[in-house]
Amino acid sequence: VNDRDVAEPAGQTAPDRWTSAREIGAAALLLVFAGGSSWMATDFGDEARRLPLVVGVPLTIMAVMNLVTVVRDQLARLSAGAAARTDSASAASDAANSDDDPDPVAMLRAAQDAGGEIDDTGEGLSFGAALLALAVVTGLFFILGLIPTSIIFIPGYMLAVGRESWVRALSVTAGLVFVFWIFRTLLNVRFYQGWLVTEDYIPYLLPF
Amino acid sequence: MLEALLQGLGNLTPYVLMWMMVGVVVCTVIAIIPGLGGVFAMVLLLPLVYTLPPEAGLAMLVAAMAVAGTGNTITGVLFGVPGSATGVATILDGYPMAQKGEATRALTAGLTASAVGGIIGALILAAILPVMRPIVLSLGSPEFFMMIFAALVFMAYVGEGSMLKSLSSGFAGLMLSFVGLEISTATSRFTFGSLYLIDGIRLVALFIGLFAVAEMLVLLRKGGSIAAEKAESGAKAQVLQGLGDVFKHWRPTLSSSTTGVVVGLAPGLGAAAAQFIAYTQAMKLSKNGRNFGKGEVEGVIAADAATNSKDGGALVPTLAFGIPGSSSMALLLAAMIGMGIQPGQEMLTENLDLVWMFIFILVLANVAGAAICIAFSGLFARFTQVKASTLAPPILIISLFGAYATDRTLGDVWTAVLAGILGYGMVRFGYSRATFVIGFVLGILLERHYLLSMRLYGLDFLRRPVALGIAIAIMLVVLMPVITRLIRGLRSPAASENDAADDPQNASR
Repeated sequence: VNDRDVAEPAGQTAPDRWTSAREIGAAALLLVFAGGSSWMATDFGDEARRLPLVVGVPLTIMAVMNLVTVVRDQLARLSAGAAARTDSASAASDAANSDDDPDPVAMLRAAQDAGGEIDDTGEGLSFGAALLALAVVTGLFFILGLIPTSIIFIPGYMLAVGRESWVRALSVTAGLVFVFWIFRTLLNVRFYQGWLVTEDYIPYLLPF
Repeated sequence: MLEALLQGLGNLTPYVLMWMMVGVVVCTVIAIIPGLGGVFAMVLLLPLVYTLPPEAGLAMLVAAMAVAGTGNTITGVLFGVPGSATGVATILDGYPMAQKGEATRALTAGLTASAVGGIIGALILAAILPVMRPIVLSLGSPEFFMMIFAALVFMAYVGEGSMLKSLSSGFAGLMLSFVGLEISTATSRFTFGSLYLIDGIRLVALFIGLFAVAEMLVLLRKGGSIAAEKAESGAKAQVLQGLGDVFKHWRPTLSSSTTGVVVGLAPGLGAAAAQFIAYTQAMKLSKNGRNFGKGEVEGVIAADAATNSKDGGALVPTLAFGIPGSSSMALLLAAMIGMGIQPGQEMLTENLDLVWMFIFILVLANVAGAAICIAFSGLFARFTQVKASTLAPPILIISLFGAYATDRTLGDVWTAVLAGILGYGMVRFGYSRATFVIGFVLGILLERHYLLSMRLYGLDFLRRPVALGIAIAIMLVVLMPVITRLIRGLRSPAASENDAADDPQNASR
């Protein structure tokens, strides 16, 4: 799959220590999954454990090899990055000391090489913020159900984060709710009503 | 036979064709919605079937079944959202094409391949009508086990970058497919006492998370729109390009359609397996195999051709033996029995005209479904230019709705969310989601057919002629690079000696 294309290209994200730690962490997680599942499989009966072990043992070996490769690559990257940072820093200081007007592209490149992450569109969220958006929509869906989540989350996100116009936010929300309404009335599709309704908490929340 | 064929053609009155179009339109529209899919559309149409004359009712149902996979292509290509488990392989190349500004081309190629695949499936069904019984009986669990094994062997070639990461992802997917109840001994594996996990991890929820939710997280992170690049050519040019692609790459179209039919013959393998087996096969056979997963149009063609051609094969056991291979076939069978039409020998003798009508409907419905979608593909493709902040919130909500709608279980929503985070991590750190889903889909079937084969034949199942043939083919494909290198190595000294002998200057020296 086009994973590399959608992933942050290595050239745009400097190979700092945090990136390396995350790369190694991902490889370590794979090893924990592989080793853990293989170890658990040994507890199953003869037939039940056959294929999990046939898959699990090579998976564990591959996960170990992968971890070793990732650690080696990251160490090499870190040492290469340190060397590049020294070169870029001196290039940037030379440019700053010169009398010419600063070239913004060169400055961006120097900053990028020196380890800063550049958000070229200025629209993207940090990973934490993206995860928070996912957590909010899931939480709303769980508690309130489908339609209230659509009514709250879509305009909320579009206005607060996307800085979209009211008209656009409301029309997207109304469009989606209308489609859901069609499903509900014409196709008799059942929606998740939310924890408050399914657990019958609504009466307790109302004053009378 | 000819008389039945003409009678089947005669059944296609304007009234029957009108109801066929109702089936096509309803199913195409509903199949676009994640989580609902073609089976849902067929369920909705089922009560209506009994109020119509048998020909019209069955034409509507067969048409709905034929285009069930067609609508999936739209959301898969545009947003990376699988409408159902059958739409995942299309995403692997279709979505990267949309990101490159080639959404209309990918849509047209996929939809045309669906139609061509459906037609080829129908033609193969027509061709094997006289020899249906021996063909179906020659394919059993050992043969299907070997086919699945072949797809898993070729899995190593899917995905780009590190082969170690690709293979690890595939094996992790395989491992995850073992979650749930083991069928022969009823041992619950990796369930941690959870009732939800007893049935295993749900395909649709996992795929919605891995692709739809993960892609939306990626989109939120990078901002902008799905199509990172502006389309180089206009919508009309891309439509023509997509149409041309299917006929230019006729080999994957033909081979994937044939694979789809063969997989369709096996009750229970399903369209997802057909897609992935055809996809890996096409990738191995293609000159552009290395580009698969990066936005290679052949990948879209291979996946979509297999999805719709499968129906031709799946009709064989349904009509000849009354064994439905999937839920859509079970619905068709239920409708037939409800109308007093019995499958089996009677279907192939007294009601042969109906079988021919099914074949004609398969062809017409596939063409009509693809034509409707292609007509709107330019319009659909504009969604890829919409800003992330406008597109991501509704798609996230639709994804949660899709995950819930399949089985109406809240556990599926959590699965989709966790799979979304996993999918994002896989994208971020370069682990192939393609091999992961191939491993997951085929792992479930691999174990089932392995256990059945062992129970029925012991290790002798490997000696069955068709299974042995597939095993030899796998070995040849795997060893081909080594054999080619050896032959080249043997030839090159001889060739250089010949060159030396032919060269008079060298000879004089």
